[in-house]
Amino acid sequence: MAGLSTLYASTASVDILIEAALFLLTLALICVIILFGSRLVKSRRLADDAEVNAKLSMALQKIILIDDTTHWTESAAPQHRLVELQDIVGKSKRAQQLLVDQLVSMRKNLSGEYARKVELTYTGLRLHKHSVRKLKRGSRVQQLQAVREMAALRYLPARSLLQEYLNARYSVLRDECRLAWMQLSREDSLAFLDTMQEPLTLWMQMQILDHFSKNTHRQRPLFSRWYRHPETTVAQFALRMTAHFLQYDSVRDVVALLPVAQGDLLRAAIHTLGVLEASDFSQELMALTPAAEADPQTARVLVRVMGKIAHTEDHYEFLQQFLTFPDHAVRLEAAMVLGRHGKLSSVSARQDDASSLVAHALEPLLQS
Amino acid sequence: MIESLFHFLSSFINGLLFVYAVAIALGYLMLAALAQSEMRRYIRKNMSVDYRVLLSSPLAPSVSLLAPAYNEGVTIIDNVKSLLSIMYNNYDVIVINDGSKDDTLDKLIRGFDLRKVPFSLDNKILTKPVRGIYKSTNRAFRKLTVVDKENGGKADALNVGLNVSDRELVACIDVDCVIESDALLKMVKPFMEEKVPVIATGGVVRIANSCVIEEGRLIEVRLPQSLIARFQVLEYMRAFLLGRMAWSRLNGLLLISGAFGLFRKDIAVRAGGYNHKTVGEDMELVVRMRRYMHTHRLKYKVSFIPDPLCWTEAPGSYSILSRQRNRWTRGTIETLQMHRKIFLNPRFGITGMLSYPYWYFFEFMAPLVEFLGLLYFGLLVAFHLVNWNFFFALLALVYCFALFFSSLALLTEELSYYKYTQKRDIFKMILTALLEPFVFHPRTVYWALRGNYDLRKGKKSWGEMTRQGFIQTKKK
Repeated sequence: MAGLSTLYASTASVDILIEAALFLLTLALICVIILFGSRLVKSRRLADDAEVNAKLSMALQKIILIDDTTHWTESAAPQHRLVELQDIVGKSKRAQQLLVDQLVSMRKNLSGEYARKVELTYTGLRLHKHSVRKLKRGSRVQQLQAVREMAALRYLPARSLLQEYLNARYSVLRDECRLAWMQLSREDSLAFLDTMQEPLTLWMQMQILDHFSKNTHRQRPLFSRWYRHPETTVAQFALRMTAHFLQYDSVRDVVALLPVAQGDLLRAAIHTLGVLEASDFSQELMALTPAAEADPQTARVLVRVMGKIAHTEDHYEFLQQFLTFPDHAVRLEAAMVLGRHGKLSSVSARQDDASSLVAHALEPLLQS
Repeated sequence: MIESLFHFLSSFINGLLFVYAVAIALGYLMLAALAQSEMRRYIRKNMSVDYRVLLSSPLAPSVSLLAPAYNEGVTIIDNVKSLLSIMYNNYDVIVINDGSKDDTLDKLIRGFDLRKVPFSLDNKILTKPVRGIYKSTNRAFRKLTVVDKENGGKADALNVGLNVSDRELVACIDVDCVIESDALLKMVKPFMEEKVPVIATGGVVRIANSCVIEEGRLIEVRLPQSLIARFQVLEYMRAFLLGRMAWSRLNGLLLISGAFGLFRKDIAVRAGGYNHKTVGEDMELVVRMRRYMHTHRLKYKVSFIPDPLCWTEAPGSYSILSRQRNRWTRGTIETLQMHRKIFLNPRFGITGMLSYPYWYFFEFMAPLVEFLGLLYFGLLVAFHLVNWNFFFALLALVYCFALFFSSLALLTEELSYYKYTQKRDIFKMILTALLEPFVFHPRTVYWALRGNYDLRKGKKSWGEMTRQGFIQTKKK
């Protein structure tokens, strides 16, 4: 037994272990050195950035907010003002980026003549060239930065550049380019939807909605154009936009969808008719009973919408049948809408949980 | 004969331990590498996102914040006010008083002008009886709903919340946690931007000990003064920044912290809600939701975001920490036992083939293997069979690996969302990393072993969690 050494090992294996340990220790030390280096750079950069930002901010405010008598044109931005900014920026790429960041941030909060001055400062100082260079030759981070800058600062010639990235493999860049394209286009800005083959995410939908909500002067497309889009999310989005921007002209197109649409698309169509208060089409909505019976979610939307447009005894009778629906949420929805119309008390005895539904529906603190 | 048998056995055990150690080290390294890439991807994508769009959009999904409360009378008003001031448009707050024995409910009623309402509740998930549902008569608190129920534990309280909520998403939170005001905006985004449906999202939980909190809001981030809390800071950085980020990349995340997680309500309900038979209900729900999606052949993703969104008070003494770790161990084992069907089952994709085996071999078994290794080492020492040169070289290697891994976690934190901005904090954290393998790690192994033992003995309780409270300041 004494001859055995369970943790026996040659000098060579001990050496290997020690070398491996030293290697890991070196890696740990490198991490620590980078950590300290990063902290030093960050501290210094924060201080430097704060100083440059303060100077830039003051100069920009003077140009854009205070100096309101100056009328700027494409060809003639007041050079003396720009020279002041140019002096602060010098040849520093970092300062250039800080200036662009400030312009982007200002542009988001300004409109009209002020916004125009911000845009002209961007081109007047030829900062767009910096953005174009980043888009063409930069890292992914810089490419994204460039797209956002050019879109935010309305650099219209960027459209031709962006075209080649509209179908980029990197999905974030692709989406950003599509949004930028939309912001920079004066007409048919949602043309990219026509050929869209992938789901239109809710995030993208939100950005598009935000763009059209803020830029009321831009012509909004008639969203019914995409109701029959093969990608369901695009069709759903079109219905949502129809509802949001109250495009009453599209009511008949929405109604035409009812017999053919299913699931989320059907619910979006029903919801849109509710928002558009399409009471003339209540018969078409009531004809959806089989679809509603098969799917509680559809039933709930249908009840809510019928609750909005109901005005005849037929409508109330239609709604009352949902008080016995198997799904509680649908029963509650029916009780709530009937309660609002004052049609609840006469039918309350039909359901086991009727009393609690009625009480809930009639409680003022529970009305949404 | 005996000699050769012993020789064979020792070689076999050595080999087994060697393979296990190499596998676990490689596993950690691969996860760390994946985490770095996922982190870069996340930062690149969200670098200049304007969350104001989400804040004002009518398309933003609706969210319910579910906050179970048990004997939280001292801080409940501030905590609820903090929840009501979160930056998000379309949300409500459901506080579930889980049969508190103190004045939690009274304080809520008085503090928010609550009145009992006749709420028609759909018990989709069976729970302990609900005694009453309250709404505020003050329009300023119209987002608030308070549910009073019989005591049934955290899982049961959250299930009541799932029954009450009629929103698309539910955020399950610990009411005593401090949630960053933009937390919901960031948590909701993955649900909206992924092409594959996201069923749950988790965020980084950070340690709030020594931080300055004002009326339930984080005012100043400070590194904890006590060493025990700093050990946990380091541990959380490794777990969240190097572990969960990587699992998110692989779409194999099994655990979303119970302190703050966001879930698709319909899937959580269809999967059966929280399981009150385990003390690891947070992990169990995620595993069950994953199982549900696989069983119904539905595409899905469980996502994780590296932003520090939730701050919690870590146990400040070893006795309290031991109870927490004991519970975590029991919760892990219970969950793994309940879902053993998915172990190496290709039907469950990454969950069955990678995540579950990883948790089984490297989370559940690691302390056991470590303990057995120590016993084995003791045996070798007793029989004078140790080559001490080799032993010390091996010890140095393991120590350096631990050091490297902790340094990498610190560096990842520095390069992403560095919150501890003082230079001396770096020194303190490096010192913590140097001490941790000797001072803290052996204890965590012991607590895990106790957890295993207690589970076998049938222990089911959570264990008392005494909190010291944050450094509170009041507005003047």
